[in-house]
Amino acid sequence: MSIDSNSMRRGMVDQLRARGFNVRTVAEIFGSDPGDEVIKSLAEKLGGRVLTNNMKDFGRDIAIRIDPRATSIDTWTRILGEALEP
Amino acid sequence: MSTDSYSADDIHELGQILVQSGKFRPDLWREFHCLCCRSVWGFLTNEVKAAVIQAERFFSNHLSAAELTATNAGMRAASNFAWEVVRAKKQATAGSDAMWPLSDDVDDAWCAYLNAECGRVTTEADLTASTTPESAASLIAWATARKRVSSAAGASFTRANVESTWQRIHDAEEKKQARILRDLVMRKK
Repeated sequence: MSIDSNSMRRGMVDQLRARGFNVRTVAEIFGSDPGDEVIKSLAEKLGGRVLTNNMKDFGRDIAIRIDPRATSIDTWTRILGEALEP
Repeated sequence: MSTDSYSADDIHELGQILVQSGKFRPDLWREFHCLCCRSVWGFLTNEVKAAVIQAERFFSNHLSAAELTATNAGMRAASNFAWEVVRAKKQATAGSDAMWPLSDDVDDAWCAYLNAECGRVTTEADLTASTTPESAASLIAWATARKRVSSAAGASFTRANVESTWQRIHDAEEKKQARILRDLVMRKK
């Protein structure tokens, strides 16, 4: 699962990893933003998902959009657990 | 905390600074959580206020660990129940979208959940620096943002407007929490 961490509070990525989510930020994978097409292509290749607000470009099979009401790690864990359920 | 560290407004960062400097103490962190709940006291339910008071009694050695655990179990159950209510109100969309509509009943459901989360987190037996009083900051933001936008004369009521108002309130609350933490650390020095 990759994340555009700009919209995420600091520490959230580490906390998600600590809870067992395989998360990488776009910056960690690519160094800089390579554009949505490249991110989408990698996600498709790896069977990954992208946490983003851009549902239009990534599509509903790839993108997971999370309401800004969800801010704590516990709420994210609930939402991602449900979103990633097979 | 060094003098420079006091400029940080990110609670997670401040918590990590306390850990790295060997100044992190669970009781101090619990007191910090309680103070953050106190700062949004008017938005808390009586059940959650009672849980926060129990947590205060715990760090001042007037409550046993078993009693704290029992309170936490109650708040955990309340949080799980409140989440199911929130979940049921999720916007009906395809895929993994986790979005909620803007309405009174959704705001109420989220506030009930965030309330329970304030009580649950504050009474956790193992409170670590990575657990921040995020729910308290979010609670005041969601309790007021949409209503503020809808009552503002001339403001267009859009999701973007509500979210930016929410962000402003949330950020201000987080800054207030950072001040609370800095004051607490200075007082306990």
